[in-house]
Amino acid sequence: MTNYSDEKLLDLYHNSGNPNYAFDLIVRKYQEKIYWHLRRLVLDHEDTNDLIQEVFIKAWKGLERFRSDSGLFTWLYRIATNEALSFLKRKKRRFFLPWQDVEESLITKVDSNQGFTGNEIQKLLQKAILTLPEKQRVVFNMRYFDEMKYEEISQILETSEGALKASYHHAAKKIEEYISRH
Amino acid sequence: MEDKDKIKKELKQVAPSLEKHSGETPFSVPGNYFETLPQDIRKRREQLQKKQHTVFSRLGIPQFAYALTVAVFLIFAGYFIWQKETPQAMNGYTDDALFDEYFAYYADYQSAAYYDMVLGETLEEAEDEEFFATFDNEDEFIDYIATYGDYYMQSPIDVENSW
Repeated sequence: MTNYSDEKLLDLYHNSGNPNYAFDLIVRKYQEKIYWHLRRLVLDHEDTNDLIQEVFIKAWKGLERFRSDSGLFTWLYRIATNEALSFLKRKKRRFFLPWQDVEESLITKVDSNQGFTGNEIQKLLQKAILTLPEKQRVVFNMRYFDEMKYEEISQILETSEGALKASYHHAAKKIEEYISRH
Repeated sequence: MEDKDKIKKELKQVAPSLEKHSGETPFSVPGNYFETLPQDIRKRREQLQKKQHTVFSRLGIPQFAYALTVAVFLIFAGYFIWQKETPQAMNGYTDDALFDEYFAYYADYQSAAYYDMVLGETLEEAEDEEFFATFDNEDEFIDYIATYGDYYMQSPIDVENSW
């Protein structure tokens, strides 16, 4: 049921007379990818749950005007990335915390094992990722965990492939340094 | 998605220790979460649709559009009529306010001049003693200026200079 192509899903949404059903299929197709993308950025399940619902509600509101030039997958990832980054900014503003402190609160979450199932090495990797600037973190996650092509990341983040490669390499080196230090 | 080998090769060059990691996300999700998530999203969507439906069904979209057009027209018409009828403001004052201000100032000044004339020093200091000598008392003088004087038509400065 979730194996429909994006084109087919959009066609169903616009022309089947039952856009709600078509939208449900879109949610089912992309929910896990979007969830993990968000979760890796905000770490907490409850926050991720709020964000993913917000992402799909925004998608539903915008789908009527959506033109498939960029692809459904790219578009959803872009909404999700923006939502996650805005969420982290809001969090920082709400608590009047410097950015570093928000990162530290995320590291504490990893340390406290709330929903964390990995081993010590994976924990170290997560902590290393949290030391990266937000954009580098997004790029690293997309490439390392989601195994995306630079071309796809470029479309989502609207950044040149060259800049993304540089960003990813820089991030990977920093993580390597962090791991070797700890 | 990119070929895994390509990504590993790339990592080997940049960060060899990362290549050994699995690349799995080490977080757990509550049981059946992905089964219930679509339903939760559907519920939120339906609530939103209901809300929108309630607002529009009360007004009705065509009626709402007409009402909006009429309201905009009335606002513009009202604004232009108000602009025409309201006296033009000048330095923050309307014509009426300027007139009131000047009238109050002028009347005050006039009263003060008369007060001086009738009761006080001005009368004593006046040069034309012969003229004032024709009046037996202050009341006669007041009657005189009330009858012949045209001070009301003069500016406060003229009244002041006339003394």
